[in-house]
Amino acid sequence: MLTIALSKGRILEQTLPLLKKAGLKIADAELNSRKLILDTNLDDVKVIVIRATDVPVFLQHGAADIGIAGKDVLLEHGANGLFELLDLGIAKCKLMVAARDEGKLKQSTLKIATKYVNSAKRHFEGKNQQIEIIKLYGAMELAPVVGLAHCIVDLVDTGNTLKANGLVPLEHIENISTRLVVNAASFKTKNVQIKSWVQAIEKNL
Amino acid sequence: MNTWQLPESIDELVGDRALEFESVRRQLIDLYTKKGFSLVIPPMVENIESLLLTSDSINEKTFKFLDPTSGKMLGVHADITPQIARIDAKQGNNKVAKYCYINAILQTRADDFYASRSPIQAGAELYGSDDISADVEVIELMLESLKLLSIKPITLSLGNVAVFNALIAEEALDEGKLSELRQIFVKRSTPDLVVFLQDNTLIYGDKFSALMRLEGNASILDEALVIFKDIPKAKTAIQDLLKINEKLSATGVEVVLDLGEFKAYEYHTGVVFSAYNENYPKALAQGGRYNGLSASFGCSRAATGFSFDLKFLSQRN
Repeated sequence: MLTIALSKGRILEQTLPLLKKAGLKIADAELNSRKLILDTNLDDVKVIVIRATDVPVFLQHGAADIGIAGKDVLLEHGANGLFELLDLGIAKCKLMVAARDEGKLKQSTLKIATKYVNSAKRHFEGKNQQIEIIKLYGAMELAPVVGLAHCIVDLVDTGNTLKANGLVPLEHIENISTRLVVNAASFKTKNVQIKSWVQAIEKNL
Repeated sequence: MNTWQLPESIDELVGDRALEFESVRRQLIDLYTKKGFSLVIPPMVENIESLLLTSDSINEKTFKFLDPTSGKMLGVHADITPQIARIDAKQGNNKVAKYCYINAILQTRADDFYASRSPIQAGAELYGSDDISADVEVIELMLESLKLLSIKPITLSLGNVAVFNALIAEEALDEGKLSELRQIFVKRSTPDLVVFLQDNTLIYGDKFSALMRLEGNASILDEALVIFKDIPKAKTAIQDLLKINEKLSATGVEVVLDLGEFKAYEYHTGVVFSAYNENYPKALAQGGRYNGLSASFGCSRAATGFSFDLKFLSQRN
């Protein structure tokens, strides 16, 4: 039995066609049901659809063997004990530092609003910048506008949301895209089965 | 806080669970001593220098405190292997020596969410032989330990970090870049390796890429011999794996060969191995060859060994 954990939302929409090309189909009735474990066209493969941030957690605990998650989530989580085998090349964006202008970054202690606490810490540690993190769960762009923080660390796609709130992207932290990850132990004990899926998906990228 | 509450990731065994643990502990010590491994009970606390050696990961995991008697920094052992290296160095001979231990250790952070911060580490180390027969002996003993714990079937992952080391020896990478490359291999991140090779000019770029995908059945070793034919140290390392794999075939264990296999500890220098079972989401036992550890104690000794958290395994049957 193989369990594949998929990230809900935009990534899911772009992942399903990739799985379909590799030979794994999930009926619409399954996807639209309220079931949490979905059957596929194959008896020995099950799919679970969960929040992106939970994907590495499920994999680490062995509750899923293969997972599809954004690099942003993996970086933030640490993803120890997972192997990152493929870049699916979907949901591409950048993790960036943004503020109203460059001058705002010149602080003895820089206040940063973000949900990417670990990635932000690593980035500014590398620059020897003293920081204070304000963890937020959404609407990051609001923080500098209302004076809650000097800057934000967030994903930037088109940059339109930043622009609309008077912010500019200033420093590039990482290129982000969706990755296929596997539990390291599953990779050994279900080696042949997992590799055949990885190869089938890679062939159709 | 309730006074009966334990700190995070600290646990205890009571009643039947404690008895179950004690029963397998005795059986394991009997097994090891019968095979000629002498039992050692290293001290809980040592001078910090002899515990850490050169390992950053052990440093981060070690509880440290000031000894009011001597004014020196002491540490609580977070790994037994460096202690065995010290004990072996003290014997000061060149003969083959075998050690075994089952000891509680303490770590500042757990290895993973299943691990406790106070695991009871069981293991065996074989000093003074650089021959593959020594590697085979400790691997077989590790497999026997798991059999005694009734964990089956076992998938054994077998690799050799000497191949990676032979490649980096020729590359001019600074400490930071080297650690980045190691991390990429620990995560087996093919996409990150592609980016790393774009950003850094390496002599053996294509060989690093090959290394990461060389895993599977024994046929990958033949493939590897062709790819690494011009790098003598890598070639020897692969030939060693071929021989070990052949010798292990008698045990009937399922072997996955993996040249990209990496360990969390920096001290491994040769053959590395880990045991898996499909009901567990992480390696059950692991080990490998570490020929450099004794150098910290002023001698040069080849060594190989394995360890596992007996508390974890004895409770999960």
